[in-house]
Amino acid sequence: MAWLSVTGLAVTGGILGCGVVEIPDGVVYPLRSNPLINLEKAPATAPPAFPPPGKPEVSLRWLADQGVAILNPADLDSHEWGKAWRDEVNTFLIGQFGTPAKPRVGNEGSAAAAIGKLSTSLNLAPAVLERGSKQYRRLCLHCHGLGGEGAGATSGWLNPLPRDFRQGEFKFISTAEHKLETGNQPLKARPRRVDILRTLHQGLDGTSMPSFALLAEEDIQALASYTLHLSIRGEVEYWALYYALRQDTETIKAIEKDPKKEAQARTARFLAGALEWEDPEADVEDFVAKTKDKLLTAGMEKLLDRLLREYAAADKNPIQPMADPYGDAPTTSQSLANGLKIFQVQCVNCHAGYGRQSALRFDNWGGVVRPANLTTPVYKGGRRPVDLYYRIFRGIPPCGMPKANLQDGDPARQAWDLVRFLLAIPYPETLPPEIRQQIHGGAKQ
Amino acid sequence: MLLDKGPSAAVEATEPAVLHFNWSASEHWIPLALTAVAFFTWLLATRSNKFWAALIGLNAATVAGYTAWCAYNHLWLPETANDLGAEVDGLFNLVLFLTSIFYFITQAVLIYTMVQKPPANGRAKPVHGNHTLEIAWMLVPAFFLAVIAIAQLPTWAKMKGQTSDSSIPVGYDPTTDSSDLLVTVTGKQWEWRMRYADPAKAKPTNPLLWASTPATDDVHAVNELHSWQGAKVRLMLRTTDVIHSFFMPQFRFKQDMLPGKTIPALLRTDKTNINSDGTERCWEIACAELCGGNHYRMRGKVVVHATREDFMRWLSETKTKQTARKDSLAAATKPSDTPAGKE
Amino acid sequence: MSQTTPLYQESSDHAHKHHQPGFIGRYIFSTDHKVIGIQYLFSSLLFLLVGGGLALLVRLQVGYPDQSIGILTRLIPGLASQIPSEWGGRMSPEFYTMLFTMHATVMIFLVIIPWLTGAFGNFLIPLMIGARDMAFPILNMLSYWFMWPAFGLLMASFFVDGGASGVGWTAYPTISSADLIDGSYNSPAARHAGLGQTLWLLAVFFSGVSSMMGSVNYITTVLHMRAPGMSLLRMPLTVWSLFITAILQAVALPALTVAALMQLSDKILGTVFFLPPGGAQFGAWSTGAGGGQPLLWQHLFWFYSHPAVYIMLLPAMGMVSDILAVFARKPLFGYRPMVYSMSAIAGLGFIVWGHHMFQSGMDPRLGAGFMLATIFIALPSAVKTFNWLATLWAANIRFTTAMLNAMAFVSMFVIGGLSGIFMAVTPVDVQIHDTYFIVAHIHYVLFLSTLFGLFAATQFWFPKMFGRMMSEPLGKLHFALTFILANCTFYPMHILGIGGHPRRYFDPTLYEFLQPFQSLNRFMTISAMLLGLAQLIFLANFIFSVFFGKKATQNPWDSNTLEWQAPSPPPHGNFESIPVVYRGPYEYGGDGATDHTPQTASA
Repeated sequence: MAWLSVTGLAVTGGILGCGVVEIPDGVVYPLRSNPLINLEKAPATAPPAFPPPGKPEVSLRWLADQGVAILNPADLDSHEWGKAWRDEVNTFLIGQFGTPAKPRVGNEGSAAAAIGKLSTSLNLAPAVLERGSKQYRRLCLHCHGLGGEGAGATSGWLNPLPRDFRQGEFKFISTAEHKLETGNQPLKARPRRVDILRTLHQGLDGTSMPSFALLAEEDIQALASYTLHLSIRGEVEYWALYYALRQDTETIKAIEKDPKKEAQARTARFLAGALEWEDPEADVEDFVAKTKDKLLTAGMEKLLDRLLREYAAADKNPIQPMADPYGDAPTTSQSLANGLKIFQVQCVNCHAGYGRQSALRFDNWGGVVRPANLTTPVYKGGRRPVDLYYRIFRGIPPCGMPKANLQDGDPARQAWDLVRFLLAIPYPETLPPEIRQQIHGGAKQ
Repeated sequence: MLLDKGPSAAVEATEPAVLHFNWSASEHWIPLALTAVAFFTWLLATRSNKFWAALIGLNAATVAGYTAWCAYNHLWLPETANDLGAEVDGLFNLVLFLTSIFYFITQAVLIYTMVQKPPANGRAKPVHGNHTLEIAWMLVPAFFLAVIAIAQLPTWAKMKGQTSDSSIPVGYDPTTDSSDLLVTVTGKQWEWRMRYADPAKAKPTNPLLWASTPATDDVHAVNELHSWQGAKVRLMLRTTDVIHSFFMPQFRFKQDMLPGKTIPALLRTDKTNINSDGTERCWEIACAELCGGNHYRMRGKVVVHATREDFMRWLSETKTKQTARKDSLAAATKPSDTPAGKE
Repeated sequence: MSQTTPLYQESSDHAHKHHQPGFIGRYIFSTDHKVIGIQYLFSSLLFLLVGGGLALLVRLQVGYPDQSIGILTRLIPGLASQIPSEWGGRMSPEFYTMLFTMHATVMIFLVIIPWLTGAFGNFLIPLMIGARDMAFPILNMLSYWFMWPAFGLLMASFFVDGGASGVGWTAYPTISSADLIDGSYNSPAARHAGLGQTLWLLAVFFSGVSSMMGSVNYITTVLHMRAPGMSLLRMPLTVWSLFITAILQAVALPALTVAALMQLSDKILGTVFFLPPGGAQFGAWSTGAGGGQPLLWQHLFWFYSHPAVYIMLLPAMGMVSDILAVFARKPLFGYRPMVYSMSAIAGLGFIVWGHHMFQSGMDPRLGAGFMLATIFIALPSAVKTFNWLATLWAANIRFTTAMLNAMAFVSMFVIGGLSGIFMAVTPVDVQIHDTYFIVAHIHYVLFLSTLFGLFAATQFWFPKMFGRMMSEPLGKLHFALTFILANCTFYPMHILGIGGHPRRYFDPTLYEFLQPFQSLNRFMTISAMLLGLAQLIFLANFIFSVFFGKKATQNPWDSNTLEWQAPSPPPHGNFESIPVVYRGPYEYGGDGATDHTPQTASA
């Protein structure tokens, strides 16, 4: 009977081409249902271990045990206003970001026409995103999930976990620290488009993220655009839900005044944040008076505008590596010795034992990471000297890797000393004897 | 990061579209047509049992005809990329030829027995056996099997010469490796990481050791095996997680990668896949041993450059990219550094 | 024995009263070989549905990798969580690995082996040699009930964390055995290598113990309980094939059982039988140091699993031989060569296991040795084929359902056997190993040969088992459809394999060299769906006939062998009196009063 239905019901007249990916129209991005976490300060205790395969949620439990707030969107159901809040968020998201079959960033008819212009300049046109969505479904969905939540079918059994795009931050970026036109700091350390392209192109050695270099160039570009789309959508959703759930002192005070106006109080907080990002002097009450209703939507629009500006700004602010004073000359022992000295001051606290005995730590997604073992030539973000330069000079913000502090002396020389040193650590035969002894303990690795 | 429990109650996902079928495509209506043929055979067989013979005969003929059609329409062995591949194909064709003979004889005899006139007075002669026949039809196939067994030995020896890394002395001797190019291929979940020993520099004295210990001069690549026409490539195949299998269809090459073992396999890249107009014929790498959910995605590609110079040019370009100390349009990865691509 | 004594087995030395067993003792925990055989038959048919359903899901994915198949979640409720609409109605690649793994596992361990050796072995051996029951009736009962833990463990494994085993029925380490020894059953190597794999190993263990118990029983029964006059060379080929199969099982199974325990130990106890000295790394997870060898599993596994394929073939060959003789109304041609051939297949079957491992990294010289034995194992199969054809030559053929299925066996076994020769040629095997060519070969010998043999045997011995006839018209319809559709489903796999299309691929369209073959994949998927539908005819025929089939006479097929001397169905104790055998089983044809002479007919 089942088989009969399968064959019998399938009489529709679609054309079936080779490799054409069809995304059913009825599929929508599900509204976020897994917990939100905002690690505003680093957790006190390090995690005891990696979460076991298949149970990545264990690390969130460890964080909860330390008192870190883990906010559950399902809690919205317990408030009267919660469902309305969630529906408004969902409507906005569908309106601005579409569905997997028809993704976009910003509605054509959007009040903020600037959003439309910005998204085009970021290569987020609907045609590109549609192409990206199809390839994403074919190649990325089962690890990164439909909404980019990093929780597809495969993901729980991977370590490191696939990236959750919805917090708008990425690990391996080459964006210099900068301020926006408004003078504010960006909300997060944003990637440049080329960083995403580089990850797609090279893969991440040492993780399960493969290289997609063999895809057609247009497909790689489309996937990068689609990743940004998921990231921006996810972040709007994140902040909108976050303000609905967070228990900070200001919100609590506002609610204590009148619990019945909880939704209003939270919206006000959200708006204050959204407006403050745009204009620190703005008056929330003024804005509320002008906008009257759909405040939440207005706030999300402001946030979307803000995010697009941040990504555009990130692209315009690459790290410009300082010129290598050694040029193409082979690495000298002096250079290595300098590099070692810098390493021992700046890096060895986290990369204990040159990375062999690094302690585990939490990352901004609530997962567990470990500072890299530098004695093996496996570099997730890329093995080129310039990639290492980026890591050193930007750190890895979501994981708490700070950037190096090379103020004294000749920063360029120091920087490249350190890079050369890092590149030499895995190869004992290229190290001078004392350094080799120090790092590899005399025995060959 | 947790497994999403499902869509929020506020938004119901509507029914995903059903499978789309293009009923006019032959792959869809032929099974139905053949089902009808089977059904009508059954109906007609009530009149005469010869229809059963016809069914078996139709099947036998279709199998043979379909095979020939596929071979003629290039749904067959991929093009060969080396001379050894041509030898393998020769063996394949030999076996196909011999088995086809036996196939046709046996099917014909079977069908004949189904249509033959029943014996007179409805009683078969109770023949229990025939010694001569038994000897004959044992020795004749045995002969052909022996031919096949012997014919393949030289090819096997050529394929596997010097690959065993066992301690038995007649195996691979790392100190006398005479290959033109050394590449370590590490299969991992779920990609191929290649590491080339720069042929312009001194060869590693012990390739086996080099396979597990990277050197600073190595050139790294992902999912791409490069070589040049006429080169003998020594592939050091290894893995650090599960069993993978390095399969290059055009080369008739397949070798498992075992955790804990480095397998030195010899690959002859006798032909180039760069056409004279500069376009490239697609030669791919596929994983041929189940290695997890993404086993199907370990796609790589092989490029056999026309000349050693072309290969060295690629190698030095890759090395330059690998040692870049700043990003530029040329040295960066293929995507340009400017934010807005064209669309 | 007096004609009027009760028909329960009585020891010859002293009479003792039997209590008439109740319903439970007669039909559930019965020690009667016929009941046990029918129990095996019913379970096999049930799991045929499960295994077939899994295969159809596999085909659906391969044929249409990018399509939404969410509609299935409406029809099969349990699938909703595995084919969620959020994923656009697609299954995950891990789920796919589980599908083909469990398809193979269920078909091999829960369907084919129990149906062949458990159902027919149990039912037929005592009847065909003139015994009242097996040598060890209680052991016999235990052998069936030991299958139930295997059934339960495998079915339960679908519902545990991580799902059922998904590392291939071959379960190669390290993907199947790697473990972090962190107290959880989950594996860092693969989602479906956790508790599901552990349960899989236990199920294989139980199924192996069940088979070993059965094999000991069959060997003893055949050697010691034949009726007077039933010399070994007067036994029907069915009994010979089951006897040789039992020897195969007894000798080969310990290797698999031990291997399963070793892998279980690696997963649960932290031993390192199959973990190499450097351990294995899965991203940031590391198993720690090992000290073993993954290749060891392959040797142990294939040492059993190659004889296993003959376990899954020989009884079908034996039964087909008998059925062909009955419906050709002519003696089986070359009885002794047939016996020797089966013995040769079994014997050679023990020294060819390495042909599954030509690419594994074992010494190539070892490969050459295995190649020689493998090439020559084609010879006895060829001899058997010629003998079958000679049986049919100048015969007086009765075209019954069983006969049609048996003749199809001969036709299709030629294809299956000949495709094996390609794989025996080692350089060619390098190209076609782990491609669909192998899948084609497997299914030609298991579906288009063994399963046709099983359909023939089921139709043929159904009257003896249930006292009723299966419907001939329905049986012939089922045959016609299955024959055509099985060829449609499995023949193009040869072409795929020649083209290099690998096995176990969730989405072949990622590769340029596979693009031209995708239309074949679609063709085979549609054929497979129709083939699945056609099997419902067989099941309907079976179930309906058990209750409403035409009542059967004692010997509806005019066959010579001893089971047809007992009533249909035989009572407990089988025969009123133990028969005396005067002749071989194939005295058909000739000019006598009838065209057959039963084995019990004296001169």
